[in-house]
Amino acid sequence: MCTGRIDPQFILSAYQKGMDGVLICGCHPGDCHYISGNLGAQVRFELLKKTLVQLGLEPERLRLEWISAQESEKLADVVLDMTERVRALDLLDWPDLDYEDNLVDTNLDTIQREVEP
Amino acid sequence: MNKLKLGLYWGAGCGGCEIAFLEIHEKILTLLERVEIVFAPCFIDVKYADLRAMPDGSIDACFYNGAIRNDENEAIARLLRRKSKLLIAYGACAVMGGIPGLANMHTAGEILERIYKTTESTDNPSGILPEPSSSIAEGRDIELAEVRPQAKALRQVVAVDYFMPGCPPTEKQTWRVCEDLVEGRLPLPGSIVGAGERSVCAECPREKRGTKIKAFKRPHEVTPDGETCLLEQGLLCMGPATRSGCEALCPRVNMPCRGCYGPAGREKDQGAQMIGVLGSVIDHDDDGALSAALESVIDPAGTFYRFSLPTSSLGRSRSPARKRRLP
Repeated sequence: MCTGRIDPQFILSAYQKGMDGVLICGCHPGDCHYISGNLGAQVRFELLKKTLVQLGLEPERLRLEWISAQESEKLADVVLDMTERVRALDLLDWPDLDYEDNLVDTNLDTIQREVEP
Repeated sequence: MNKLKLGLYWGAGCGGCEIAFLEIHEKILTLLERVEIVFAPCFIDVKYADLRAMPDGSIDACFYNGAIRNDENEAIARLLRRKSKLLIAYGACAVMGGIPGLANMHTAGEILERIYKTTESTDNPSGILPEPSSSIAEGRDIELAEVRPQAKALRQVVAVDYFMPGCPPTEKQTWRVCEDLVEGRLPLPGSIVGAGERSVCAECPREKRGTKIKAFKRPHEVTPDGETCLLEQGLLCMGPATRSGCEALCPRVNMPCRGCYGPAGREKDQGAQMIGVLGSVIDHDDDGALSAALESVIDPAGTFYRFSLPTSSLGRSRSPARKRRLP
């Protein structure tokens, strides 16, 4: 799909589902079938990355690369390089399910039973 | 006629929600013909002991405002859940974590350290930190609420029946929800009440012209015209990623929306929603222009998640100390 269609929420969902890194590959600027889809994606990527790094995410976990259909070697190199960099990091614990009482119980009955009399 | 029993409580908040509730002004007299306020430490004389003595489920509806920041907030939230038939998260803090939720960008330890030891105006040579329990000269132990590791929204601690966002909820919306409550017209539990379904832009009278911008300015750096979209004038207005219901109070008076009604529509993550919007607002033709635009967003996490960090995808800053090693 066009990188312009990548909603930042997709990337957050990938992390939430247990991915340790997210690589977005798009067409080179100027090559966009939709004229500027990739340029919009670049803005979203950079803003999301800045936000996530501020919140403590390692910058290596999110990457954007322009790779055209002819650049198979570049694709292979980027994937290998990214894999290596992400492997060098710790597992991404997102969300922190093991974090103290972070699990939310929204079942009213259970909660009411839990409360001391 | 049997009056509905109403409770109001403040957790980790600023008190503004209580004031917002009383902003219905003389309509409170009309309300009091139908309801009886049985618990509201801010404006009636009532103690926790009185609340504990009430039978379970005896409060018909309780408006809880403020986040859950310490063990007292949490204990009272649980107690109120048990005593109330309906628990309503009232205001941005109770719904999403709100401004107190920004504390999740640091650990509780870092915050205590900063406030009690290293702020420029602190004079604390012996480095005393507040203790949950301490003995005083008279030989009695005094207890203080203990700060929890993380600020939370109400629904992260107890089940919540209705969510009413806003910092604070507007007077009109408060009155509407009170009327719906006494008339039995509230929607299904779990609903967001006192707010719209679209974005603030839908209620904003400003004109969108499709202008793209190069960089953002801060509100004190520019006097916006009263006609066109604030975002298109270079102000970081959260309107497109914020739920409607306030009638665009802030943009109407030249102030960019701060996002207090939370994510719009069915979105869960307000920051992601806003970043998605900005992709089509910022104009850049080369990487230099892009980095200038990025630099103008000074505090992205604090801006995009100003009211919603605890209930966002990440919930809080990742702390290096809590990382797990590869197996």
